[in-house]
Amino acid sequence: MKTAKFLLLLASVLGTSCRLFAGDGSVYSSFGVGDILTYAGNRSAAMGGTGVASLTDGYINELNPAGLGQLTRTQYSGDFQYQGYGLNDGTASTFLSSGNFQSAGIAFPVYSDYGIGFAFSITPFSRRAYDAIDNEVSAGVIQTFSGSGGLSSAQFGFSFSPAENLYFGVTTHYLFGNYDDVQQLEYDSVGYFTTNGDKNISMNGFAFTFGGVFAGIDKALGLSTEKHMNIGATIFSGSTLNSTEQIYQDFTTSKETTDVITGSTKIPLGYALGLEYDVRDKIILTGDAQFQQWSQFSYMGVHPSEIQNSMRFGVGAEFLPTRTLAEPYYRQVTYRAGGYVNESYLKINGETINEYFITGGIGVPIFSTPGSEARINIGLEYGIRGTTSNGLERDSITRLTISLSGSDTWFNPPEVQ
Amino acid sequence: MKVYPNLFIIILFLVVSISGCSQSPTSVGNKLIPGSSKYSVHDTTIVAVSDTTFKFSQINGSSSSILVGNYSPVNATALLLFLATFPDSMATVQIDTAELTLSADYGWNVPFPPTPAQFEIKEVLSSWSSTVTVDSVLSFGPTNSPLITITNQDTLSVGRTITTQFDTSLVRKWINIYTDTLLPRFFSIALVPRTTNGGIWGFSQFGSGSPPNLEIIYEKNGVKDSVSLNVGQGTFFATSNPLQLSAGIQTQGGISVYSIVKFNLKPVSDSINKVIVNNATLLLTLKNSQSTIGFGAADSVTAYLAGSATQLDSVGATYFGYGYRKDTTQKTNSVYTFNITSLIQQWINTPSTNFGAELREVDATSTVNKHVFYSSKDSTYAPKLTITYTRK
Repeated sequence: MKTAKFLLLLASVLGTSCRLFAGDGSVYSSFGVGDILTYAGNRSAAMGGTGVASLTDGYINELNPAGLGQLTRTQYSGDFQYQGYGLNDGTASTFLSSGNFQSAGIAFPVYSDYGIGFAFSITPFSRRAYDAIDNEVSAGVIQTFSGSGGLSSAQFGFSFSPAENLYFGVTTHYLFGNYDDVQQLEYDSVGYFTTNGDKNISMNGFAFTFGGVFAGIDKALGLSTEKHMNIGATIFSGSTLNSTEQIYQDFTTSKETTDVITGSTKIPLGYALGLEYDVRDKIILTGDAQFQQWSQFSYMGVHPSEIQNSMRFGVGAEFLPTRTLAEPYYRQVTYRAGGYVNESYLKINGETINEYFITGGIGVPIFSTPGSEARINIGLEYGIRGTTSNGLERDSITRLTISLSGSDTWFNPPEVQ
Repeated sequence: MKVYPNLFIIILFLVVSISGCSQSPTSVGNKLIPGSSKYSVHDTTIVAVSDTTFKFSQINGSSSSILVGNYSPVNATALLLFLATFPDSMATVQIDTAELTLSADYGWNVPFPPTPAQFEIKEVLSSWSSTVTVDSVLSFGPTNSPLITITNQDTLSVGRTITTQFDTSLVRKWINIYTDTLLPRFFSIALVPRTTNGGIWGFSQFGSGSPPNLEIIYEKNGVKDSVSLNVGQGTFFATSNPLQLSAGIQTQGGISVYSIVKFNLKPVSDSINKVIVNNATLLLTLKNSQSTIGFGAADSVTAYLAGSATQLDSVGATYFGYGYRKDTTQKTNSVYTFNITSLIQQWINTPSTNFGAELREVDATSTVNKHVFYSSKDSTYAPKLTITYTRK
């Protein structure tokens, strides 16, 4: 325990000596609605962001509401994420990092015979975080740019199964959030007023995700009973978000709201296809493809030239050696791996900003109680975004997600004798 | 139920220790920010298009210094009002002596070596208040009967006090007035310069550390006693001829000489409308030989936002800047710099408020300091306004 106490003390010192939640990201997040986050839970993140066709009990499927159809117990989870950004533009490099609450959710089955389940969760949709400095304006002048904020999705999912092996679902998203872009120009001379402008944007609106999973592919293909294959698909309706942009400017005489624009932000239609292959409930292989028509994106009626359609392809695998408590602890741990390629919605200086990520993770049980599904899930993603050529920036991104998940029999209907 | 405690500790350690060590802001990636989103820095210099000097009747009120003296064309007369309280026992006493003590705190155009300062003390019969103006001074006196002449034979300097005999008959008169409850208790005198071009002196005001003091020594039943009158009000009138409205840039305290300097921002205001003014510096060049700044006072001029096109003495008190000598060792054509950033921003945000910058002495109500600057018509030393601003 002395070692543990020492570690805690060291952690506290480290934690307080560093700046939490700083301007901790890339300038890429200043475009569009920021970095689009496809986070759908720790398990999905560790498996290459896949899970459109996943029906696995024990996790909340946030990618496809139809995936709630086989829940047998109430599931809940809360996620914390650390993000590290190694930024390099070919002439200089730096490393930025931050940690913050990522998402939380709860899902519960209502009527298993018809695959009826509900889920509530709040999860990030996009994120803006950058803090850049330009000291080449002119001698004695420094200009800084910083941005923060993003969109979150408070969502309610519902699933049902009209027929054997067929599941449908719908998720209602309430997208909301604020962006704050601050720009300053400072002189190093005494008596010079600092130019300080602030653009604040607020957005909100509803969107829907319609999903379906068909779990009868294995039978159609004549696979053995130990092997299961699902196919899933989702359609994201897109949304027209009510948007208000307010621009504040500091003058020596006053701080004024110099402009107020109200309008809309159009988040475009997206769709995804997925496949899941399950062998003896031990090995799960997944593959997803996602597309979104960002070419239809507009902000206040204008489509930014740097925004284009996006495509994402991911694969994942999960291995759980045993569910038997008597087995050694390491055999009760769930192991995950994956990767994805994302042709992002950014096209800057004529070049598409691509992302290449490898992922992995583990899910470790907390209690040794029979029936307990409480786990700490640790997911790690590492990837590269962009390039240093053509005036661009290459980001080396590390994301470490730590989640606490569990289950219980809350809301479960009593069994009829 | 078995729990794995070490696991918690490890997780907690990981979470806390890796949370957010950032080096920001960073220059990396700043080129990704579109140029149209960045602020650009600009400088422009504008020469004044016109200027006017004018003079107003002004209330010097309870100025920090009470001026008296003469130096062409300024003639300063001081007024002192004693808020006296005499003991009832003084009604029948014999006044032995009365002495007036004043403490010098300012001098202007005092000859070197100084000549004796001579002032007359006159009784003021009509009541006045601190809101009295130079134009109304004749309506209440002072009387024309000279009472005492002060001749200071010593060299005056800041902090030096002078003491002179005061007419005991006037003191007796005041005591009698005080004891008669039907008469108005108004005990006032005027200090009037007697010498011509002897310079102008300033004396510390009532309420200061060295206020004017009238020490009265009296005797009753063979016992001497005294009373000090050092609470009251003081002001002064500094008249100057001619009262004029003329071209040129001149400021003088005490006699309320102001100037307005105008700049035409229109050639640039279209392009810099609603821009952010980071710095606006007004440069005025002094005609040193025509300017006189007294000792014991600041060598500074204030530039205010002129408040009206017609009411020339109207200024906006919110926006102003002080002007100081850029190089105090320079003996000719000394340059005064004023930071008037807020004032210029106001003009740019609201062009209709551009009535010019009104220049006044910093110690406009307690000195007669005089600054004369080159006008806008001077090809070399005309007032200049340099504006540094940013815009997108």
